[in-house]
Amino acid sequence: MRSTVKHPLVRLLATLAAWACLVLPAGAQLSSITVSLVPASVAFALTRDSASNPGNATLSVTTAWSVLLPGQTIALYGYFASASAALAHTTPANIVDIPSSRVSVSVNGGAAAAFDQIVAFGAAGAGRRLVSQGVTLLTLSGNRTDTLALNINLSGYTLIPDTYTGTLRIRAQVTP
Amino acid sequence: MLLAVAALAATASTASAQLNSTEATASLSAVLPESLTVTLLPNSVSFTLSAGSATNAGSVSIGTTTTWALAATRTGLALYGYFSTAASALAHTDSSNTVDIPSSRVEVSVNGGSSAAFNQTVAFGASSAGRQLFSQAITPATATGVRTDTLALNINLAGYALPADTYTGTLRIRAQATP
Repeated sequence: MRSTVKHPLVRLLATLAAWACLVLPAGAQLSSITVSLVPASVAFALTRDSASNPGNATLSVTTAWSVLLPGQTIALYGYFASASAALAHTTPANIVDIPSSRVSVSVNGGAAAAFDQIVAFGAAGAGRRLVSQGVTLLTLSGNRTDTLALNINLSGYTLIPDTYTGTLRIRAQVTP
Repeated sequence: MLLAVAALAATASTASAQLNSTEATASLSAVLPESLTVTLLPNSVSFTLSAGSATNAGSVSIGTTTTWALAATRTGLALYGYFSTAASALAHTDSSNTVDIPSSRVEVSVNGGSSAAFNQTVAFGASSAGRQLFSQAITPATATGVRTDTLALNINLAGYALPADTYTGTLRIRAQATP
């Protein structure tokens, strides 16, 4: 006589899978990943020729994901739409901008690095991979919060007095 | 068990493709303020006066260094020298003396140019107690810069009766960017 008693993990997986098959329409995406940022703005009081022009606030990035597979990788990217003008001048007579390579980020207190990488999103040479982590059986769903401290390095860069504005974009990607 | 594996595989197939989050954004705003500074070296000049003489040169010339970082909207930069009163640029120190040296008797030669009295009404100081020392156009290409100018001072006493005394005063220097 065959036993009908199943291992609890198998029963759980079967339940989840059956639920997924019954509830989700064909082709639906069960996995999800979202990113949220707080605060929504950062200001810099610049000093001419100074390497240290930190933002007035650090950004807190929360990445949340669900129903991923073991072995997948979660990566978080920061990027600008333009490498040459991460922060653009606002006075029409001014033609100088702040390139993304002059904007750096320190993730969770680590070493600062410029937005000068080619990443999955944004303009060429205008991005930076912020974090990366593998998905395990224990982290199929979860969330993490990372702190981004921004700085603008003006050492050796001639910038005309003006107000410069731009948008830092953050996006996460899960890869197989 | 087979049902579970098959169903999970089906679920996994939808989860194994690349997955991107939506975009979160933060607005960045950076302000670089304008700056305009003037420094003088040295900060004192003495004169040995000769009664009735037009030539009473200062003991040293003054080097003025003007440093600026201006907005692209600026079109002009000027440096001014001035006194706080036209009647007594250098005032008597002996209380029994009532005569002073007016600013119109103090002259300046900028970078070896011709001498001119502090008798203009300029952006700073008392009326008729100033002199524009230089002016230059500003373009986006020259929005930041530095220049040093040399001021040679002289007190012209020709035709001016001045009692023997020690006279003291303060020459003030200031730059202005316009508009």
